Amino acid sequence: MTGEQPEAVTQPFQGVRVIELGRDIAGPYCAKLLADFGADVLKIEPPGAGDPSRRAGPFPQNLPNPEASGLFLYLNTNKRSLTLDPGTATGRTLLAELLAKADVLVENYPPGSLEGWGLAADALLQRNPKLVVTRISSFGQQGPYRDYQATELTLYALGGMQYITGAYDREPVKHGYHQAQYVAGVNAAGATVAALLDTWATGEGHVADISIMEAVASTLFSTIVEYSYVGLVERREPRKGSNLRHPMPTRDGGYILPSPGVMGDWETYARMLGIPELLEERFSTPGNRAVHADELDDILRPAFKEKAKDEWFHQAQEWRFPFAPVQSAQDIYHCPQLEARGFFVESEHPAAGRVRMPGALVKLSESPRQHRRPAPLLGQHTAEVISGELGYSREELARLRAAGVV
Amino acid sequence: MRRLPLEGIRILEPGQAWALPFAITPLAALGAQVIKIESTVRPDMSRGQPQPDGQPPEDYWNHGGAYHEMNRNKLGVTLDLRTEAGVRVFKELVTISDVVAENFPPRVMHNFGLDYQALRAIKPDLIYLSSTAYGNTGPWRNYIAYGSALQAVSGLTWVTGYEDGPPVQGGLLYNDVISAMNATFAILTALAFRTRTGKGQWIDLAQYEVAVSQLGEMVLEYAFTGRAPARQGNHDPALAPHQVFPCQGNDRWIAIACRSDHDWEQLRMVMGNPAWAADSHYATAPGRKVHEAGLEQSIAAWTRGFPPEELMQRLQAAGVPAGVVATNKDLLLDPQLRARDFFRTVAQPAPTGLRPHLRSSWPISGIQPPPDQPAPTLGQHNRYVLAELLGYPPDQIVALEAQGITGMVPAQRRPQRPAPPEELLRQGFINEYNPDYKTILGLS
Repeated sequence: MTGEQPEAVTQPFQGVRVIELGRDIAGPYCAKLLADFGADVLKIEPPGAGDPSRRAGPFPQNLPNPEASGLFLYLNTNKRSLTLDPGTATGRTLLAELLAKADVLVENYPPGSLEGWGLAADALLQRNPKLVVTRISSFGQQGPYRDYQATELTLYALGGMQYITGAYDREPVKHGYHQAQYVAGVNAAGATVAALLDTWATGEGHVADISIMEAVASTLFSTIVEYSYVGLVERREPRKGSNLRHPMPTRDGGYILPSPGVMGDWETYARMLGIPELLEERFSTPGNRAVHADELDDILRPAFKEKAKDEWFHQAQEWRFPFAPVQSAQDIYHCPQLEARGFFVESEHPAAGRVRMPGALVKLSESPRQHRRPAPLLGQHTAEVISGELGYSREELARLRAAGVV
Repeated sequence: MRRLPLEGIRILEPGQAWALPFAITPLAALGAQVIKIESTVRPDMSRGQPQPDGQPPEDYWNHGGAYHEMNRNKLGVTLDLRTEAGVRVFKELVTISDVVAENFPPRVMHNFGLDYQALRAIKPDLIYLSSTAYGNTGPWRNYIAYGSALQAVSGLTWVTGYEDGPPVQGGLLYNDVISAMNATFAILTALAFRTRTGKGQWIDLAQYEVAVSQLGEMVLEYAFTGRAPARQGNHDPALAPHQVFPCQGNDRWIAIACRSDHDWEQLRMVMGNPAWAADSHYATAPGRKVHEAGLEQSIAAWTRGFPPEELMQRLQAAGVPAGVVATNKDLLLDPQLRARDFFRTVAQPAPTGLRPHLRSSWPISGIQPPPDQPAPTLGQHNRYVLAELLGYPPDQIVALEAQGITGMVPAQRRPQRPAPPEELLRQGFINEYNPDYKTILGLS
């Protein structure tokens, strides 16, 4: 990144070469965030099958197609794809050549995989001292759980988020979808940029070691201090009223979160709802409302049934109460706020057709996210990279293909 | 001593609560000089709960556990931005800073005359992050929300819960924390751009949007199929068993997820090959999925006889994904987190004393932040910042304090006294109370 013309740089990571040995979510999401802000991400996929997220769906019209998996399309926009088997000697050589010229390696294979391929981080840094290697794994590269098997469910459990989620007298329940993987991905992206900034200043490469369990546990710091300051083991909330912290059904079959807010004034709240009963002594303080939570629910439940969730949302916001509608994917897809901000981007994909998906994570005024290319087809850029960038001849490339290396 | 990546970077943090201060914690650990700006009129609300041993001391505002967690390694300054003098000091600080990061509703900094447009005029290469609930544009821009509300709006609440029940709110601060983590990445990204081009910029972070970004495949499921995905508890659409199971002890659970028939074979073996598990219905994933309820009952009958830690070890030894459903206490004592120094002991001001805090940045080779400095007491660094950084003479510093523009004591004292632990236990808000928690954690 030296000797460049500053005015020619329009993206934070423009020209930064990232090799992604990523699969599923955490590694690809980390690299996607870099790609969205300008990095040239080359995704290395196993020949034949590709990234497992290609088989995860959701698929257009529910028709499975490894080139049209929604999860893959979302996580791999703005990247190129090269198929290569690092388990073969030739594949390893090609990868080592790519890494010698790269700025960043993002990988989320199980600990020991890089070493098994003869691509240990230390060796990579010896050949390319300015390389930043970001490793993401379930538990980190060392420690007693290092080789434990994990899935989203078990990581959510071990990370501590699950225990406090759900009903008091039922089993703890996890958040929907893949929050553990995403949280790890954004932490890995932050660590990668911090390391890059240091490398640009010092010329020294780094290895970042991101643990998904730690990323989940970090989201719980405010629960952790309840034990480390007071000795309280928190549990799922008792089955006693909603305490205005849980969704209430609305007329349209939806739900509203009817929070009076941290500073909310209870008298105004009662006035907005038009329920004088709420001003009785038994509901006058947060403590009293907790004690009489069931009675409070009996009064509020029919009241919230009188309007649709969006009516409550806008009315309460006019009164400065932080109500929130419980939105489904459908609501979000048609949300006027996201529409007005141009949050969704739409592009043409050769296999999936027109795809509309979340765009910029944040709006950067001088270097906004660019939608440069849709997610790649499996191995779409293999020839471009092997011949064009590494300088192998067409015959050599044909030989590599025939041998199943690429 | 080797330089840290952000040494020489100065960050002003007129931030409050969780969504912004926690974003700056890693940046402070990586060497940035962070000046947290509060006022004596509105000290950061995170200074409240929890207090050490649940007993607020005289200066309770300096002893909030969550505040300590998020504000280590920062300088603490109080400034009343409703006054001209307060705004003037803030602007002087901006001219010697690199980043301003705030999380007020959009009107607030604008009304102080401290929005990006105003500050860019006095510091052209400034990086300015605004973290708001819904973003700085659009019809909802002035709407207010807390983390729990954003969980609902972003779709996360809708897809969380039991198959037969209503949407469930997860950890109440979860969305504040992910907003913070995304803000950290955004600021570092803007610093990278400035390093290369010399240009600052405005970062408009909508907490709503970063939450939806972590649910991309949920949105695409609707886009592709016209169907809004439903709640599925702990289940997987195709795999079974995929659930948490009750264990020996008080509300103890273990998560078990079989990814394949092989995992199921291994689970059977660890259970001692009971006769019921040989049922041919259970031999394949589709069969186990169809007969999931009975399968789960039978597994639960086995797990109930063991503590979750023992089951995790035995199942992991056989290669089956299994994990203790960890409590906050379990995390603090977890052997893996301990082996990786995830918690570090920090000496906070008395009477708080020694407490374990989260590692404040990521493990990156060659980048070793020094031991943590405790979170600042209210206004602790007023004099240092005014005198050393801005060159104010002593009489002006005294005048600012006399006018109440700076200060070290909240304008109003509002110590909160939560219900005693025994009462929380009786009502079921907590599962366990350990008065000897410090001994358990090795703090005394």
